[in-house]
Amino acid sequence: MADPANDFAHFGISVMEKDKLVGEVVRFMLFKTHQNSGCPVKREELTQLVTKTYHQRNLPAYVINEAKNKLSSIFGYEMRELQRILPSSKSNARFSQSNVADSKSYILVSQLEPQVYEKYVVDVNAAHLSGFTFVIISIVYLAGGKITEEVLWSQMRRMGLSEDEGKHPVLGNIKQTLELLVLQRYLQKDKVNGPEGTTIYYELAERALDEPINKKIKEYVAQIVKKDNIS
Amino acid sequence: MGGKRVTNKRQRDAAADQLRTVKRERVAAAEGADEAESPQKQDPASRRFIRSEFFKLKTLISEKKDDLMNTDSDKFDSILNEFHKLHDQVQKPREQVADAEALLELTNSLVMSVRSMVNDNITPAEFVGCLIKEYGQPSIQDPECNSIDWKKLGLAVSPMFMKVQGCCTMLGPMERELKQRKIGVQRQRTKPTSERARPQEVVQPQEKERSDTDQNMKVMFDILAKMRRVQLECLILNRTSFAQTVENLFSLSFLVKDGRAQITVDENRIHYVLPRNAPSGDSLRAKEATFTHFMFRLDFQDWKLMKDMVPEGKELMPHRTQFCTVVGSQPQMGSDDGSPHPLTVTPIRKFSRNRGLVVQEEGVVEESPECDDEKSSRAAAIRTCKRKLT
Repeated sequence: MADPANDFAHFGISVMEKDKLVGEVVRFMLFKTHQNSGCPVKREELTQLVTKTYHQRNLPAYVINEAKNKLSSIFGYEMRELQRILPSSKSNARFSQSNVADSKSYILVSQLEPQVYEKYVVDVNAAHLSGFTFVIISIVYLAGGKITEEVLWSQMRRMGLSEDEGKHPVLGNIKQTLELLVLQRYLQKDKVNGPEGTTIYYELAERALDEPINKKIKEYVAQIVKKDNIS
Repeated sequence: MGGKRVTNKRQRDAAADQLRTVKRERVAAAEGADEAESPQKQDPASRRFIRSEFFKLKTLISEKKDDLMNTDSDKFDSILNEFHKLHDQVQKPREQVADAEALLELTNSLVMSVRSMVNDNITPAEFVGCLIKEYGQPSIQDPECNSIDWKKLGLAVSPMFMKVQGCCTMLGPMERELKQRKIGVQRQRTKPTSERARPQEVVQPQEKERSDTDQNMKVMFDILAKMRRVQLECLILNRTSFAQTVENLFSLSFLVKDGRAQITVDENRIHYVLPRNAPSGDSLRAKEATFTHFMFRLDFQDWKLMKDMVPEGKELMPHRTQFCTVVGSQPQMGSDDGSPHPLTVTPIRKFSRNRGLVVQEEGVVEESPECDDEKSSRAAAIRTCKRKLT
């Protein structure tokens, strides 16, 4: 690891200034993650924390990397970068127009071993949301990564989840809970204009397509189906 | 299961072979087009027919998406045959574009079919059925409807997400910017002191404010009437609220201005507050009695010092959590006001005592004609205030 003082001397700021900027980014990530229920934080927002006072080129990237190191060493969190993906029907048309900088965002993921996480860290009061997230992602995954809203709701109704119902005793308003998965970038909605009018599709988004989660979906789905076949 | 898988694989291989065949035929067609010196020109009606046929195929692919994704269906083969027939008639770029778009739609369907096959042919419906068996429970709301034990399922799959809670803070939402406290010169922390000054103008307070202040004044005067002589800090301090301390000071300033309270300082520089009867209008007009105001410096730091100075539980004014009804002492005050004998005595005593205190504390400039005008306006203001009080 290079000497931080020398690295930031290249930008003309002191170690104290560097620590202040890194602290602001770390603080922003932690508070924003809690406030937005785990929605990704845009890279642009982190960059503005630096550029509102300092205008050196590449300084925001340096500060963000330092913040990653701090979050990992102090909190045991991985500040993972997500590259926003577009719905399949729009991926060709909009590719030339999309701005790479606008499509990057960050989430915090625990770096503990899954066994340790399950034993000490799992938040019992929020576990139901994890269950809901897993089920919805699995249904869309088994449908080939893309499913119509109609088909998705028909499967949800089999589990007692209804869009008309005022409040689910555990999950609350199901429409809003489903919308939360879209905001958290597990799912994305896509409106397709076809011969029969507008159809809404749900597709897997970048967090669900992330390698660790994608792999575990397969394991858990196979586990559930296999267990049922045995019994 | 094994046989089914072999069948699926064979079908996929056949599809791939057909796709390659289509490519080869397309290349051959291109060569043929190059070789032809004078190609036969198609009429617009035929070209329009070819494009509409491709559009129909595209629509059919969308409509029969479920059938196409079902590996047992022969829809894929039949649609591919239709492609072969139409493709032979394509010569112009517009028809080539329609051909390519329709084929893209078919390819996407094939990709989704292959992708879903990766899961050992598990369908969402099967998965949900297994979920209900594994984690199902009767729903409280509707016994006939199934429900999932979401917490149990969530605990089982939480390590999959490794979610991070983040931190919350007492400072409030992220959007609200924390106001920076202005860095000022360090103020000198001194004991609360009082000095006398005559403002040029007395501003009339708002009706509602006066009403609340009047109520507070009554409470304060009752305390003074009961205890006769109290220390200033004990009277105005509210240990739990700086704001109410300021309100108490405000009430005291009105009592002093009305002549119903007096502030004295003993040899130890400790301030005391004593109750007094208000002078009559005649006394004011005859210049036998004068009104004074005081200027009092009190900020948050002084309030903290005051809390240290006053022993616990020695505060006199009640904490105002809500508007409290006060037992009226009007009859007593009325009798006091109505009695002529004390009025004849009080002004003289008050006058001489005030003059003595003033002389002892600080030099006061002799009254001038301007002061006379000021006193007249103040008397009028007090009369207005009393009228409103009634």
